[in-house]
Amino acid sequence: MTGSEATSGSGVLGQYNRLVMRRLGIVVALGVMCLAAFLLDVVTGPSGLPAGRIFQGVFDPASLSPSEYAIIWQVRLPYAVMALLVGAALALAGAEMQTVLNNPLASPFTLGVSSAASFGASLAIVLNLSLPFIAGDWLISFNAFVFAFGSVLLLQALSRLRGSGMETLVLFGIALVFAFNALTALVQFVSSQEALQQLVFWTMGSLSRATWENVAILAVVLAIVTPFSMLSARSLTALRLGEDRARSFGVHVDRLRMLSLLRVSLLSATAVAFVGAIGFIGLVGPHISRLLVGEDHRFHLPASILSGALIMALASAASKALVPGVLMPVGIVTAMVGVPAFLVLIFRSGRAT
Amino acid sequence: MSGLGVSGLSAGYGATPIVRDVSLPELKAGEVTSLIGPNGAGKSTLLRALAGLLSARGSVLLGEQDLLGMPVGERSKLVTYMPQTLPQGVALSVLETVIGALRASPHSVATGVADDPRIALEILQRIGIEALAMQRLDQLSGGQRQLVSLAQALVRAPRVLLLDEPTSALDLRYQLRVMNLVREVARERGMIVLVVLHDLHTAARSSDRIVVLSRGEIAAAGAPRDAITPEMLAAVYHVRARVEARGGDDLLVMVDSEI
Repeated sequence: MTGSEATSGSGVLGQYNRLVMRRLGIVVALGVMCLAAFLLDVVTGPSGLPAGRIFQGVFDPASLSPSEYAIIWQVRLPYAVMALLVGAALALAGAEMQTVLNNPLASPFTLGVSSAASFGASLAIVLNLSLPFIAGDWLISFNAFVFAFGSVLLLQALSRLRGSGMETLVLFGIALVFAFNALTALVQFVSSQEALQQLVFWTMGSLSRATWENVAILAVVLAIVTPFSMLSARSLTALRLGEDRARSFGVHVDRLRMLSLLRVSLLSATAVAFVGAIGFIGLVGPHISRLLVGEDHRFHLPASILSGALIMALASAASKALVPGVLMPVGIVTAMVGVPAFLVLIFRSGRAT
Repeated sequence: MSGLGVSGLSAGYGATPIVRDVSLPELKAGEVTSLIGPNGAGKSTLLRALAGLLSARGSVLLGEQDLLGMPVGERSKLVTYMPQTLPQGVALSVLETVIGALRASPHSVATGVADDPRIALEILQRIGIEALAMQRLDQLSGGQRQLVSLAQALVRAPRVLLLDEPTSALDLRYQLRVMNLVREVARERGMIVLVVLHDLHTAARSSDRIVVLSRGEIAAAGAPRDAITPEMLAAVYHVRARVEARGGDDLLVMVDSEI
């Protein structure tokens, strides 16, 4: 190797190391922005509590009046934490789905998971289902979870039965969206006035059902699933180079895909079970991450998680600030932010091919 | 070094085998063997079966090791398969994809010599595309992508390299470059190379041996001048053609008409 080749080589290695550092930096910056958005979310609200009082109340709950305590500890904080967790869970689910299904439009929302959850919840609401030892509210979430989880398993089973490519799985997913939406509409059509109101609220996606219990459940699911996702990061990156190639590099593609979809179903089913159908986070989060850090999944997965959490926290703050005094369902706001992003994406990918 | 022995190999999709009871002359270390034949002859199927991507019956032995019965992870240390194309729209830099190829699974090649970025960069330098290292994969031309694809395969330092039409998307210069490189590296490392090619001229000038596949069976095999003959072209490709030797294994194939 000549001297100039050696320098150019170490130059490239230097560039590569700087790139890795920059990506780490972006992930850290996203984390900081999440924290800032979370704080913004916590101090935003119709009650007009000053920010200083809120921070004081977080660290010293004893100093608060009962109504202040209720606002901060039963509304603001659980809602804000739930927003972060839901954004994180949906975006991670979307990122894994997009990679293992090799489709940039895959997400829990576009492939029917959210629709299934809505249908499950609507059944529980309208039929007024009850089980011993489970309170009514929990049953709605539980039923939503069962349907969401079932829909992903059904997707897997159908595509396995058909034994065909990932395009088929995506088509099945889209079919599920239509099927579950139609079923939900049917339930709405036949339901009572009172149930209908609850139902409509549910399908809009809202943080208002967040309690510390379901925050804890989602946090535990996320904490269990994320390390397994990160362990698969290298295999997922290799899968982006093509299925045959990844297989020849020693990746168990079928096992990777099955376990990944299992993680996706856990994450998205748990998230939508507590907050209802929230669109576009699972789709847009991974795309923002891809633009920022590329598709080395060691960075792509954490950046997706943080992008999702960030958008969701901002959407939550916006849902309280857009119309003063009115708390809009956050699902409406994420969709309003999401649709333009979605259109931009479609036009971009249209140009690329 | 030991060669690759393929005997009685049958493989296909679903119930009907596309490749039937194929036995190849031993593929020797350091040699490039080209697999040629008309469309639908089963060339890619045979290659994919050898790569372990299809279920297959028969025996594939690398020395004493049975490749067909081997777990995916073990086999991936010995055999690398290079598909025809790289997927579009991948947001990774060239160097990242080569490092990714090296570290794809826990079973990946044990390195220990130098760190991964360095090994990956050395391969890019060997191929002469280190200037592309930091470029995004989806910004490259077809020819450049093919060279990157080759880098991903070579970086794993396999004993057996299987290439599926590596020159199909390339202009004349890149065709020459890819095949010369493959041959050089094969000799250098004692690698066994099996490559599916369409272009008979490229196959003849860049292979030590030719295997002709027709309807899932071997129609001819041997040195290029022995395998590529007017008789074979008539029987397998259904064309009337002349073959002219121009020193060594540089053959000129002139097709006159369909039969």
